[in-house]
Parts: sequence; C-alpha cells; structure tokens
Amino acid sequence: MNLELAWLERNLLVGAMLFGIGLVGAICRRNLIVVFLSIELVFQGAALSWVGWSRWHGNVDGQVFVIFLIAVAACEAAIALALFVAIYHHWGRLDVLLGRQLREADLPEADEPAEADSAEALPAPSWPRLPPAGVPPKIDPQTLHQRDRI
Amino acid sequence: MNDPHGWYTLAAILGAMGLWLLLPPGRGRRRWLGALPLAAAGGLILGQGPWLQSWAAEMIYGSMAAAALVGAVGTVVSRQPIYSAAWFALSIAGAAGLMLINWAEFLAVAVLIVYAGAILVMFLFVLMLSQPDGRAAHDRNGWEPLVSAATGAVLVGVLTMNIVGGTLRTAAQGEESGGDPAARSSALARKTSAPHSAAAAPNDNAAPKHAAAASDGSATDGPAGKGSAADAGKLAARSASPFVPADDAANRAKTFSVGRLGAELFSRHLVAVEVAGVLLLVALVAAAVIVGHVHRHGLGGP
Repeated sequence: MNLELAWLERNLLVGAMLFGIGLVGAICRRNLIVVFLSIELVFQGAALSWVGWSRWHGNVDGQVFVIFLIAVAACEAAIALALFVAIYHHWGRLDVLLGRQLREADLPEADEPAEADSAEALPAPSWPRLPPAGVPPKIDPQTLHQRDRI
Repeated sequence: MNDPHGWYTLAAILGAMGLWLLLPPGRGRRRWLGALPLAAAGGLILGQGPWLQSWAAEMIYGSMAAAALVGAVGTVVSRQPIYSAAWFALSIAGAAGLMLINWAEFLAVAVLIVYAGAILVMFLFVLMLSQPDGRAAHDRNGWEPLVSAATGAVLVGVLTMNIVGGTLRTAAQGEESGGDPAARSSALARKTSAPHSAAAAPNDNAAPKHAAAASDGSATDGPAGKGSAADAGKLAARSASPFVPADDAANRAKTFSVGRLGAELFSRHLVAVEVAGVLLLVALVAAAVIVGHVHRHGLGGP
C-alpha cells in the first residue's frame, strides 16, 4: 500500500469522525448556539475530506470547494446569529424546543411538553454570608413605618 | 481478529457508549468516565487505519487529529456554551493544522481567520447577550442522547468500514508503482472497470484528459509557474518535509501553491466566486434587516 493512499484514508477517517461527532451534537443538544457550533464541526469534517481528496488527485479543485464552503458557512453564521438575537429578545432563551410554539394554537401538542424533562435542575447559587460584626444600631420601630425626614 | 470490520464495529459501539455517557444529562458524577471509551474508539479507528511510514509524520498527524477530535467532543458535550466555544476553537486549530500538512496552506489560514477569528467572536458576543453560565434547563438536558449517539456511531462505523479496506485499496493496487498524481487519479477514475491495467491503458477516455491536464498545468502554470529556476531553492528547502518523499515534494509544492489556487479560483471558478460574493452581501443585508426589524417591531410584528 503506498503512502498517498495512507494519507487519503487517514484524512477521510478523521473527517468522518468529525462529521459524526458534529452530527451527534446537532441532534442531541438543545441550546441553539451549541447546535450551530456542531453544524460547523460537520462542515470541518467535510472540508477535511475535500482537502484529502485534493491531495490524492493532485489538483486544487477540492480546495476551491472548501473556499466556497467557508463562504457559505460565513453567510449562515451571520443570519443565524441575527436570528439568535431576535429569538432571545422574543422568548428570553435559546432553546430548540421553543420551535414547538410555531404550531397553530388550536392544534394539540405532538409530543410531551418541553418542561417535563428538566428534571435535573441546578440548585440556586449559595452565596457566602458574612457574619455579623459589631453591635447593630438601635432603630426606633416607629420610624420604620413613618419617617419624618430622610 | 484479522478482519478490520470487527474492530470498527467495536470502535463504533465504544464511541456511542462514551458519547452517551458524556452528553447532557450526564450520568451523575461519573460523567467524565465516558472519555475513556471515546479515546479507545478513536485509538482503534486510527490504529487500524493506515500507517504513514514515518514516526515524525505519525506523531504530528496524530497530535493534530487528537486536537481536532477532542475539541469536537468537548464542543458537543460541554454544558456551558462558553466552554463549548473554547473547545470549538481547539477543534478548529486542529483541523487547520491537518489542512496545513495536507498542502492546503491557504485554507488552513483562512479557516483559522474565519472560524476562530470571526465566527467564534460573534458567538461570544451573542453568548454575552444571552446566558453564558449554563444554568438553563436546555443546557443541562439533552434531547434523546442515546438515540443520537447511536446514530452517530452507525454513521461513523459505516463510513470507516467503507474507507478502509473498501474500493480505495482495490483501485490503488493497479498503480502501486507510479507516484504520479495524474496516473493515480486516472487509475482512481476507472476503478470500476479495470483496476489492474490502470497505468497502461491509453485508449481509455479518462487517461488522456488527466494527462492533458497535468501537462497543461506544468506548461502554462499561471503566476506560480513563472521563474521556476528561482523557486527551485525554495522548493528544495520544502522537500525536507517528513510527510512526502523528497522527489515528490518539489512537484507538490508547485501544484498546491497559493498562486495556483488563486489562478484556478479566478479563472475556472470565476462565476462561482462572483455568486459567492453576492451571497455574502445578501446575507449581510438579511442579518441587518432581521435585527433592525426585531428592534423596531418585535419578532411577531408585520
């Protein structure tokens, strides 16, 4: 087996693994930003395969493809980020499952509600409490309700 | 187990298990144990793959591939979007390094600038606007982690089985002796018909086209081919690379030079370049319109 075939197979293997990991992230994650980053990983896998084929064939056609892929990815990123800002202004969070609200209002839910699976809620942050120091000032309880001057 | 398909099946199962353990919601505190089967799966796939015939090439390629893949896994499994962005930068750096040692120097720099420089910084701006700390329910809960990990495992398993030990090696056996790119590509083009008589079939319709392309490339080389005597020193300096044989390096450095890429891009693909420019402009206008519209009317307004 010659060396160039080894390089081609290596590049295709790494590209396939990048593609698969990005696909898993795009399916599984619910944060819109992470979903978008996963799709960019899928792009990277495809670009790496193109570069490997370009090396194998001995011309730059694959690299030209990757340049256009970068242009398309940049367009997609611009529009997606504008949409993220819009969605966050409207709904207050960037959840993929918010897309369920796009159905007609009189139609039944097609799936279980989105809030049902938020079982593992993070506890509220526990800030450190300062111990009391010194003597607390004595306050006339009447001035707490009616204060004649500030 | 001599058959590599068994190893690839094992690697796919291990990878699915590791990703399932790592993906949110993780399995309690032992979430990072999922990194072990994932590393085993990556090692199996890359270890069963071809050998690059040089320890230097193997180490450099392995480190870059490890950076790309570890960054990708970290991007997918991080609960906090800020960490996802940081892992994504690592993955992009690894992928750019892989492109760099595959003779795609311009692409390596372009990917670094566009992804790690522009897109990632825009993402960080949006993250600052929204929620950076990963406390939300949709950061801490996945959407069918087991099914998605199994999907990715099936896809990667099928792809790896087809890449290694598939039709590629059968096609390449016909031109085992020749290292010429034109002969190699023509051999690949007719891999279905006659792989063993690939290099010596002048009446095939694929061979004259590739040969003509190769000779045309060496004769009218565009801006990169001029002054080849002056470039000989640089090319000879590049042939000290551990990745290719020394006699092949000068030829490849000329084939994959940035000047050659630019000449191809602005001659054969000129219309596509113009269309891509228009597409970028349209995307810019669309982004401005979307954000401005939302600021004035809200998302649901007319």
